[in-house]
Amino acid sequence: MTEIKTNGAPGASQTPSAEKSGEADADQLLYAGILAKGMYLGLGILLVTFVLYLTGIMQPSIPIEELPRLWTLSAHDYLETVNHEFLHQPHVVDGWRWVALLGAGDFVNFVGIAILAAVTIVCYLGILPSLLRKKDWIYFTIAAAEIVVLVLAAAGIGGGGH
Amino acid sequence: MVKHRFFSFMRIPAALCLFFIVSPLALVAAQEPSAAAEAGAVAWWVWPLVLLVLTFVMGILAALGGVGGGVLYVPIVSGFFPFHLDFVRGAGLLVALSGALAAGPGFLRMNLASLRLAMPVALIASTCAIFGAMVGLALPTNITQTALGATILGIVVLMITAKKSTFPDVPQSDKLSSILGIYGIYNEASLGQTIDWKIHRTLIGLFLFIFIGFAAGMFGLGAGWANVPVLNLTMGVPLKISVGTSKFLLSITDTSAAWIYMNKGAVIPMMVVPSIIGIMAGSFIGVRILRVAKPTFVRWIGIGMLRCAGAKAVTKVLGLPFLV
Amino acid sequence: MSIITIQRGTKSGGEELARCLAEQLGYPLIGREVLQEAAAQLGVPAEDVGEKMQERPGRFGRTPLITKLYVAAVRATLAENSLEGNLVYHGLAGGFLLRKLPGVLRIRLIAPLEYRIQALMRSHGMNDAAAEAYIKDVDDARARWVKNVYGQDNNDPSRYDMVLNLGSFSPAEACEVALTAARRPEFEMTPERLEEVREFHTTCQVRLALLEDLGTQTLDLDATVSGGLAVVTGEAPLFNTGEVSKRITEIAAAVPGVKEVRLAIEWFDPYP
Repeated sequence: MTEIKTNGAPGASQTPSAEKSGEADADQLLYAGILAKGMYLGLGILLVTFVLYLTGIMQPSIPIEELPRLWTLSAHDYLETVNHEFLHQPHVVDGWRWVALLGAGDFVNFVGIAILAAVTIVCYLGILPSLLRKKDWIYFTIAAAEIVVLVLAAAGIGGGGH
Repeated sequence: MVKHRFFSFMRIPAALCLFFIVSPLALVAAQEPSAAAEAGAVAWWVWPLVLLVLTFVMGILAALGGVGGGVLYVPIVSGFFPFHLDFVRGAGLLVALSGALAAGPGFLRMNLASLRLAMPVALIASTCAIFGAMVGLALPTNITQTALGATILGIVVLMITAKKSTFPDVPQSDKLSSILGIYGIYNEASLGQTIDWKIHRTLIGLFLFIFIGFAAGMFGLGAGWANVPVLNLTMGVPLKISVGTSKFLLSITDTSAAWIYMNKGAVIPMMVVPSIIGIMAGSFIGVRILRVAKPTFVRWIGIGMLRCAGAKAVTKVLGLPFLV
Repeated sequence: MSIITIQRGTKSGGEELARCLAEQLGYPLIGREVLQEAAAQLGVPAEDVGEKMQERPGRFGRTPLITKLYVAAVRATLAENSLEGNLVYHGLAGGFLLRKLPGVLRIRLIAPLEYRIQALMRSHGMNDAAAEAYIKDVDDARARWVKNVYGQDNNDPSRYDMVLNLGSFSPAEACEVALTAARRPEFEMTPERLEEVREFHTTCQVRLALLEDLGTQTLDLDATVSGGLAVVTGEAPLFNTGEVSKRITEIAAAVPGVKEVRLAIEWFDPYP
């Protein structure tokens, strides 16, 4: 029925039956499923919160009309300036400190952004059990390492508070 | 099947539209020293609206011409808008990430992206992207801007000169890829066959992803321009799988860098959301309605815009007049 | 048995020739009724279908989706009427709608302009100048439509098996000549050709189904059916996380006569 063409000498024939037909394997499909759901969730929430922000239904902590003055500053200066002029928090609002300001129309948008940024971590967590079951130790290690890298990045490894 | 001749009539209007959209921005940006003052003088909604329109056009260009939206965003927005480079890069990463999250599942499901190929590559690239992001945010802006400009000009050269190999000849998989079990089979529509692929030069490829990841993090660029040549030409991955895996890779690489930018406060929703909406809507229109044949001149428009943006970035820092 | 299509300009005597052939051969005769059948299948007024079949191309030479859908419906209806292997069709664009079928006798009927003007003046009560302008307008619109939808020249004689000129033949004589051609073995509907007609019909049904479905109609898809195997080709973006392929397969598999569906689609990145 379907011809199999190779780009060179035949490779090791360890492919599961799904791959023999050119179809994606179970891990890949699982990853894709989680990725898709996470994307819809993150984008959906982001759009809703942005409408709440733009329409003023949720009042922002940084007045919208001040933004043109502020977005020309570097990130560091921006954080210092907005905290000094509007937020009056004990520390600049970096890292995960925005969680404390979720009642504000501007900061609530970070929920959707965080979901979009976090969905990959969930995908990797999703395929870990399967890799463990298959005793695919190399890829289990790679996946675990990736989770560590992403979690450290999310936790503020590069600076930024908590 | 009926072929549309739509695009042959659209060339001149499309080029004119792009000219009339881009040139006013170029004129505004050319008065660079007062851009900051100008930005403060306009209503708050003006620049996000212009951003929405411009990213919409970029999305169409990207869909038609195959020049990634993720690689167009940072150079063009940083060159012609008053936003600080930190926020432009943060938004650029999130724009590229959104596109990768939207397209990634499709590529994975159709087996046009390989998870086994992507995972080790992504581990290296995402780790280095973190360092790139940290360095990029720590360096003085003028140094980052210059490096960005030079990188963009390098990307332009790469886009013009890089060949593509639809089915690279890989006589034998190398030891590392055999140990990692990186190989696959996919359905090649154009031939009506399934293609069995394997890779070689794995170590070199993984090494190159150190630099790709670093650059992606530092500049907030989508890295498709580099991922595809490395996967395809260096490692011998068939072109279709290279393109799909590259797109999927962005969802991991850009995630790690995006977290750094978020944690550093370099994300402004008023920039991010219109950008994401603009590019995704533009791509949607571009692929569904306008895409017919593959008009190469659109690709040249995209490359031309990148060249201008790269030159703008370099001349801005060096205090030279904007040389188009 | 044979299938005969007559391509003609307005008031060129095509209907008369078609009626003569159908009577002599004992074949079903179909003309603009195919538009009504297609319209009924789509649930739209027949006038809309007729209008779209003669509409001028869009400003940029683009075929709108609705036109593609109506053309597909008309073709599918015509294919259904051809299943018995005997038919005389004198409606719009017959030679092009059935151009992929072997053994179809494609006749182009032309008549001197004066002949056509007189016919129009008699039937519609127009004056000389108005009739001439009307004929020119309709001819131009049809030629442009064929050019736009099929990329071919309506007036190119090489597209037809026979060109008959009512300036040289009377309608009865033209009928005799056409009958002689229709009885030739080249245009005989053999069992193999009949099987091709059936597969063509199934192909048309698959194409129509893909154009009718909201999820697939804007994709650049085509289909061919052979031996129960439907191969869907074209280009499509990877929207909806890959679910589109499932939808295309379901739609094609639901068409009677399709036993297996294979996708040979070029998938591309929807968000480059």
